[in-house]
Parts: sequence; structure tokens; C-alpha cells
Amino acid sequence: MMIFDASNRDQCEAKRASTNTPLQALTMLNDPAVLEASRVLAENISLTNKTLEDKLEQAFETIVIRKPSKFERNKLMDYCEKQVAFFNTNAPLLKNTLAVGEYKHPTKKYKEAEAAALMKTILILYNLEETITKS
Amino acid sequence: MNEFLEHGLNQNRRKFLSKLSLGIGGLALGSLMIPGLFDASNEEELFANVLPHFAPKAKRVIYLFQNGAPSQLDLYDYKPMLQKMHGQDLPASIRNGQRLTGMTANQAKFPLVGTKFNFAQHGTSGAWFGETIPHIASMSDDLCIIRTMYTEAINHDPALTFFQTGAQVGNRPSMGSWVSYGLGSENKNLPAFCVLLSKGKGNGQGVYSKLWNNGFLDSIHQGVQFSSGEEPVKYLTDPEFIDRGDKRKILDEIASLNQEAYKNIGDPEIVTKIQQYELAYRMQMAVPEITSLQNEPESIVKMYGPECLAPGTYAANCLLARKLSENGVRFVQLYHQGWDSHGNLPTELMGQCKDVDRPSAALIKDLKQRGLLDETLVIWGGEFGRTNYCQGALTKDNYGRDHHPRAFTIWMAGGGVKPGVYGETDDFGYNINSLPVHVHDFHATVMHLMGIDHERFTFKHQGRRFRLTDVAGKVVNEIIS
Repeated sequence: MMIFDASNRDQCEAKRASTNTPLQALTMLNDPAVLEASRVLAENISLTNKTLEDKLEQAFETIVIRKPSKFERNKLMDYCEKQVAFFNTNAPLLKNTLAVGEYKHPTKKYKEAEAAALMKTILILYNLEETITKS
Repeated sequence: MNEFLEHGLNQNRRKFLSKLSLGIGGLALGSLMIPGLFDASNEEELFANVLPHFAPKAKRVIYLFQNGAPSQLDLYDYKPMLQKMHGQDLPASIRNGQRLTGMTANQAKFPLVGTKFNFAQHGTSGAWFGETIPHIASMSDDLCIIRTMYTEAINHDPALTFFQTGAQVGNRPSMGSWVSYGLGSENKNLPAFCVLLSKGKGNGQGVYSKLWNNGFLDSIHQGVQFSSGEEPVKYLTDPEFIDRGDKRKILDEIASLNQEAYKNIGDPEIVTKIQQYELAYRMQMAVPEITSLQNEPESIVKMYGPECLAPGTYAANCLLARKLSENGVRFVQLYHQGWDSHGNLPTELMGQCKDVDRPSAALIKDLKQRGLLDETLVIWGGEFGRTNYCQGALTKDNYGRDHHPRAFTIWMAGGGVKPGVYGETDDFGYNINSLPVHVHDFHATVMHLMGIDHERFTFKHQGRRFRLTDVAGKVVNEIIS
């Protein structure tokens, strides 16, 4: 957490600094914990009986705490649909993608390609300035 | 902000964003295939394009900060008088009623301490060095030794903050941030301002991110702190199911959504975030190559000492600093903790010197053999000095020294400084006899070496134009070659 300005506990910190560094970007993009969190949320949402668009909206609302704008909805939907198509034709990579982390997979059946596509879309959502920065 | 600068900044920000919408992906791919495509020399500078003010002597800085304040009286400023008067009280005429820290102000006596270590003269300047730093001493002919530094602060936090930011209170931009803002990066794949930390075994004092903070400057100018562990930069590797093209697409999506948010909210931090994500993407390619020690020949390892292979040591950081600097990082800031020897100074000093002596000298040698010393300014020093009198009990082999801001030694090498000894303290090493150098003067001089006129280099914030040197500082022309 020190990458995100947590105190190193050498001394009292009256006010936490607010930095914005490439190291934070690397953590949010590549840290297995973030990837695993994306995967688990994607799988959970995939268990519902919603359309892909509604699933995406649910993810967006869960993470950003508001409804997506039209621009955001279209942009993310476009990305997610392309990813679904991609995963539908690429079984080994699909397996690899959903294998991230130790948290157990749902026991019920779900659309795996959709979950993997959603997972990568959620990774994008986790990395938005609005998600990371409270101000 | 200077109106011209502001104009330039906005223009460039707009350009940057339009570049984004045209697909920075293509550009980034280009930069992967042609390293250096985004070098500042080929690209319009993102920032202060009025700089440098004149031809710089130094292009890059490596600042070896000796955190805690090393004892100048046991390392550089040889005072036989103290040995002669060892154990006698500090004459009131020398102290002259000046304030002391709360740690020794109530001592009944202030027994003078002559150094326990042997001193000898080295190099053509005949500069004196204590026996604990033989390697640094061997570089004497390259060192510009300033014996008459002085500061206004008497405790670590304000003194450290003063040295790093030109003010004792926090929230001002660090030196490295100013330089990043003024001159930008020479290598767009690496941050312009990098920070490396290490710890000695001596009594330590904390360092904290406010020391490399950007203050009121744009936050892309803040120092990027590398980790002290095995991996200096964490999470550099993409997950195995996301390849580079894939990552590019993800970044483009993030950037376009962030850009949309910027359009609606206008917070410049969002633009910074976009830039930092791009930098992170490029660092993934550049950093592993730079931080890998595998390509370092035996001779280099020997020069820095075997410790340089242990990540997080001062030696490893010196070597990493050379590599970062060589690759165009404008300002590399090291901190080595453990110099705060209030008691047990002889033992602690030997330990600290064992950590830093060889690598500090090796860094200079290494830069020199690569022809980089001329354009790289190396700075070695702490936040203040230590007293000529003993803190606590003075015994046959042991003593301690308190904080002394009134006169202490730092040295610089390369980057257009003139080797030799500058300034003279009195026989007690307590006050300055001639040629005092204030922290503001030091900053003014370093800026000057970088081609920056410290008086013209301002940033308007809350209605006031701020400088690194505030409203003071004189360039010490005598130490410039």
C-alpha cells in the first residue's frame, strides 16, 4: 500500500500524501490481487440472467457508483463484445484468463467467454481515475 | 505560473489530448520499435520550453543524500585544535550564545571532541580526509569540497525538507521536481525524477514522500520511489493472458474514458493519470533492461563492491543510479539513512562509511570512465553537520555529536564544478571564517549548473511566484569551472 501513499510507519503522518505515479498504474494493471478481484466480480455477475449490456451496467454501478453515460456504455459494450467474440474462438487463452487467483469458481454454470470478457472490462473500470481517486 | 509557460502548457496539453484521440497506440508501438523515438530532443517539450536559460554544464543530477547528518569533523574538516583541547569546554566566545538543540542545551558541560580518526591530505588540493573514507579520498582531484555549508534548521525534518525543497515547511516542490518541470525527461520511457532508499546500521532518521513531492507543480513531476527489494519496480510484468497488443487496447480504453472524464470535470490530475499510465506502459519495456545486473561486467561489481548485488543496499542503489542516469533520468535522488550519531559515533561512523565509501567513489569513477561525469553532477552530503562538543559522556574511545547547522561539509563532483576545497571554518570547526554557502546558494548553484537562472525560474501559485530559492540565493561562481 505504500505505493498508494500509506505511511511507512517511520513516524506519524498527520496527512496522507496524494500522489499519482506510474507505479500505481502498474499495480492496478498487473497486481494479481486486482486481476483476481476482476475475475471474481465478473464470474459473480455472469451468474445472473441478464443481457450482457445489463451485466456491464451492474459492474459499472458496483465499481463507479453511478450509471454509465451513453458514451461510456457504448465504448465499454463495444470492447466487451469484441472480447466475447475473441474468447469464443480462443479456448486456451480463455482457460488461462479465468485461472487467475485462488478464489474458487462458482459451482453453477456460467458463460465463460462472457465472464472473461467482463473480467477484462472490469479491469478497465478498476483503472479509471474516477474509481481510484476520491476527491 | 509564468503566463508564457501557462500558454505553452495548455497548448501542449491540448496537443497531447488530440494525439490521444488519434490513437496513441500507434505512437507507442512506434516507440517500442524505435527506442528513443520519444526522447525530448525529438519531441516538443511538454513543459517549460523557455528553458534552459543558458547552456547547461550538467544535464543530470545524482544526489547522494546522507540522511541524518554525517560528522564533518570526523570525515572532511580536520581540526587539530579540537584534539589539542580534547575534553575542555567549548569556549563561550566560540559558541557565542547560539542556540543548541533540546538534546544538549541542558548539558552542564560541552567538552570538545577531537576526532578519533587519523586524517591525511589527498590530491592536488591537499584536501583532508578521515581514514574511514579512503575510496572517496582517492577521488580527491575530482571533488569540489564545500566546507562552509550552513543551514537555518537544527532538526532533521525541517533541515531535510529545507535541503530538498528550499523551505522548512512541507508542500513545496522538491529539487528534482523543479528540474523535471523545467527540463523534462531525456528519456520518455523513464520518470524524470527517481528516488532510491537505503538504510545503514547507524542511528536512523525517517525519510518520507513529501521530500520528493511535486508540491504545487503538476504531479507528473513527483519523484518515483523505487522499491528496495528484489524488484525495484513492482508488477512490471504483464499477466500471461494479456499480451502487449492486448494491454495497449486496455490502456486505450482507459485513456479514452479518462479523457471523457477530463472533458466533463477538467481536473488536470486526470491528464496526469493518463500520462502516468502511458509512462507505466513504456517503463515495462525499459526498466527490466536497466535494473538487470546481469550485463554488468565483473570489473563494475568489483568497483562498487559485492554489496552492489544485494538489492536495496546503498551500493546497489549507486549502481542503479548510474544506470538510470546514463539512460536519461534527469534527477536521481538517493537517501542513505543512519548518520545521526548522537552517541557511539566512532562505531556508527565506521559502519556508515563501510556502506557508502566505496560505492560513492565507484559512482564517480564509473561515470568518468563512461565519459558521463562532465555532464552529470554528483552531490554528497547531509542536512546539517555535527557539533565539535560531545553529547553525553565523553570516554576514552567513545563520544557522540549533536546537530550543528552552522558549518558543515558537502561535496560535489562532475557536472561543471571546479575540484578543490571551498571555504574555511574556524579552528574549532564551529563557525565559518570565510566564504559561507547557504542552502539557497547551493540550490542557486545547482540550478545554474543545469542551465537555469534560479531567479527567473518561477511558478505562480496562489497569487505568488515561487522559486526553489524563494527570495534568496546567490550562485557560487567560484566553484564553477
